[in-house]
Amino acid sequence: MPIIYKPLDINNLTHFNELKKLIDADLSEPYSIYVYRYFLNQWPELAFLAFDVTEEEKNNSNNVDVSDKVPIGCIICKNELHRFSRMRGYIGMLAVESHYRGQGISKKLVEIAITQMESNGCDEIMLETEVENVIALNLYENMGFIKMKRMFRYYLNEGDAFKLILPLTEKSCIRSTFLMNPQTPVL
Amino acid sequence: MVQEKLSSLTLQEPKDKYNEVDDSELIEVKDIFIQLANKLQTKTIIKDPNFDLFEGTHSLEVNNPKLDSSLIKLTTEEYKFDCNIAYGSTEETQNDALNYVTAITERLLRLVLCWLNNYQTLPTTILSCRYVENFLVKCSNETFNDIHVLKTNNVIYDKVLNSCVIGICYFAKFAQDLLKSGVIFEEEDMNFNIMGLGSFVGLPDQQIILQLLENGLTTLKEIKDGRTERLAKSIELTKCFVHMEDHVVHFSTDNQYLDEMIEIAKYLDTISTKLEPPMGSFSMGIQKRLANQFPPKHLVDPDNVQFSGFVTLAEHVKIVIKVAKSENFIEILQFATYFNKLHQRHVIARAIFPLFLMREDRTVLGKYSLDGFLKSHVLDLPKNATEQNGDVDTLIQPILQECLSVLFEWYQNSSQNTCRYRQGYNRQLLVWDSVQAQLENMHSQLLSNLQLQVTNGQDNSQSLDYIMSIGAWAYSMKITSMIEFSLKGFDLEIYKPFESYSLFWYSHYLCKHLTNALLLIISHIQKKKDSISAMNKKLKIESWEEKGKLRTQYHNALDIDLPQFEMNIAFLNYLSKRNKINESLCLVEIIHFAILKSYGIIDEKFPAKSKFVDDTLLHNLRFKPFSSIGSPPLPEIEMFQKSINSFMIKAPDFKRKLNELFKYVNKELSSTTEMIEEILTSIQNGDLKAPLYTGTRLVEEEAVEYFTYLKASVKNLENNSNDIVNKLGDTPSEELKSKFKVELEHMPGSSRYFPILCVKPNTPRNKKQ
Repeated sequence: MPIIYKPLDINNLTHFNELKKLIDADLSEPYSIYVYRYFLNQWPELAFLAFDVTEEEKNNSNNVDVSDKVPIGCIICKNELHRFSRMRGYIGMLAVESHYRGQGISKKLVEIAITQMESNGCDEIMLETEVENVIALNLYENMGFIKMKRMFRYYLNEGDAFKLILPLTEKSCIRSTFLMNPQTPVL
Repeated sequence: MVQEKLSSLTLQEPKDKYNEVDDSELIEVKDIFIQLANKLQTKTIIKDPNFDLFEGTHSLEVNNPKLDSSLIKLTTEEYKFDCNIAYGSTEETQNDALNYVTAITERLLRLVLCWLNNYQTLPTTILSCRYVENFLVKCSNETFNDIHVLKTNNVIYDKVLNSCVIGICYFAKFAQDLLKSGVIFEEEDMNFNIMGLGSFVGLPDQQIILQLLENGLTTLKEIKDGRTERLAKSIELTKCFVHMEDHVVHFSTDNQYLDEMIEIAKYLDTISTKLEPPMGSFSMGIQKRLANQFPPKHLVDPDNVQFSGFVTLAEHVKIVIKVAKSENFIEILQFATYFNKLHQRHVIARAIFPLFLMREDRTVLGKYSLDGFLKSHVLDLPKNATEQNGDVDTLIQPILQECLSVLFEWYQNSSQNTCRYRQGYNRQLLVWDSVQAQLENMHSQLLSNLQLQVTNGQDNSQSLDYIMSIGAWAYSMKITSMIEFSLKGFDLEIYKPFESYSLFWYSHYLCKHLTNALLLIISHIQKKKDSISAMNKKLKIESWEEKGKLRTQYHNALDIDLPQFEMNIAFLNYLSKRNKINESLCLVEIIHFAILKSYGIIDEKFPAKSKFVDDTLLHNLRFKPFSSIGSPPLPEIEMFQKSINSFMIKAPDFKRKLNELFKYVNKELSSTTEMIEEILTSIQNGDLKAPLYTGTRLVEEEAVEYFTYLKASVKNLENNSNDIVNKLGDTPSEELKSKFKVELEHMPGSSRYFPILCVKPNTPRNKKQ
């Protein structure tokens, strides 16, 4: 089925509520409204939605009005200066409605988000995922993320988590300590 | 004006500030609030600047059933539950009180296990007990002075249950102290969401609580009912909890209460009759009533939890306090190396270890000064070595302080949970590097000034030797940390198969450097041993006056330094052998990877197609922790790439070359087995056979298991050589690339630092990936 991807319209409350539903249904950690607002209001340009459309609409995707459509997938990200040293993109939430899984929608959403964060000047993209979430790990590792560390009992459901990073520039490969001080020679 | 007043309000206003305010002075702010809120744009977020994502993910939401614990629905029994009613002691049910209290205490004890052994939260475990909540609420009040909090007029509740509840709360306070000391981490190692009741201000001291429990037991003895024995066991078990702090407060090595704990836990597991506590006595109510910073969580069901969990706790604490029996620093070092290495110990035991070892009185185990303990790690320093040159001594003190701090960090790290353990090394290797660099710098400065000082009549050769010894030790600690950090990643399943080559190759490179570092220390000690022998010769030619002085020095060296040096050399021989085992196993992993690459079924480059991937960046990110390390330098990426080519097999004559490589692998593994056997023999024979000294007397079982696992890894690697040929044949082909893939596989009973590169069929799903 044809899918199109659109940036979030922060003023569209229906979309806001739908993406919250999508994520709440999936994630192990219940998030408060604050978490959604934290991401979406500060980095609306880093949230993307996927919509199921007709072939005709797909061919004319630039002009399709999705304001009344229900999103079937979404990704929510942010980017910030990390430890005063490098710009770090962060994938906070990713969800695809269960009937639409296995079609590469997640992959496409991640690609769009990374491309946007890269153009925002990110040196790296970071995320955390549960050790048991093999599907998510495969998705990210096949895109070039590598596991940096394992975190003991990280989630409320008591599972360990991996922290993964995708390096985009050489700054990602230098310890923050050596980036923070301008006097320190960069090796 | 009202807006100004509102903006000036803070959360720190004293509670009673507005007690005297006249109602007529108060105004309705609701309208002002709505009016201001309406002016906000959709994109506006009202937040404190320090309120970030972490706070966000921990924030709650009113009216969201997943996040608002005030929406928790309680049963009528839960609402009506009253701690001052002696349930089961009405006229109709008077015999039930004993069963009820037994059920409450047993459930409470099982919940302690859920909390500590299964890492559950406090509110879903022991705080769910209404009697615990009742006590803690009262005890948090500064005016609390009556520990007899239950007033049911039934002694089983008022004396027995009351003592058990207070005893468990006392133990919870001890756990809180452990968390506060920073040796374990809140949330990941232990949850301590005490719902605002954590002040424990009214908690009596240990002796009073033990007396309370004793009184509870006496009360039970006076009741002529055979069922009291079962309840008495729970009270005795609680007494054991109250004693747990003795290891940290009094540094007690007494095992008696731990043995009792084991015995009672085993007994309680033999009882099969299940007793039900009064309805409503365990409830989610505390999450609804008190300060809850977390989402609502269902209660843990402890029914299937076995009391044998307390056996684990007691056994692990027993292991930890065994360190007090150490006879020298090597035994302490080896204890820390192995006690938590293969199996993560109970969180309480892990927390006790660093506090029991490195004490508040600035001693180690109450018998070593910090300075002495630090210097004993520098194996080529004579016992009680001090710096003679005052100037050098002043300069070196801050560096020694840094050494001590990172050494203590090393010891503390040994008891961390398995994930933190690796992160600890990530931090430490920077400090070891900095210490080593400072010492090297000092050494070269002293060396350049040497000429001048010699003409001034000073001899700085001793100072140089002193600095060099500490530097060589710091260097060996640094490389050991780097190896541990790298190989631990395999255990934690951090690496993908394609990365395993560079990680094993780098670890092998580090092992080579460590071998040299250890050899250098051995040669230093050998020289010092020789100089002791030379003293004897000097003794013969010296004048009569000088002879007396020299003779004393000689005998001191002979009696104290020489045996110490001999033991240190034997220990270094063991360290070298252990390092050689790692080196060999890394080498075999490297060769297996190269062989599999020769078949074309794996590559050290990123395997999938992705527009975001840059192999150099991935490599540099993986080796980021080491990028700033001066010595040994991190090889350029090209070196990694070149090295694999030297191991690969190319046509023609693939089969012959393959067989030769496997022969080499078998030879390497066979000598590795011999080294492991030698170490195992030394451990099991109590280090009686020189030239090895393992210092594992106190952790014999753990050390034997560690090396047995390594032996199993050798066997697995041997078998993997055969498996590779069996699956792939002896000739590479294009077909193999699509038919097979490589996975890192951890085989049970073997070292998780050396998973095998296992050839697996490439299923259609895998192909897609």
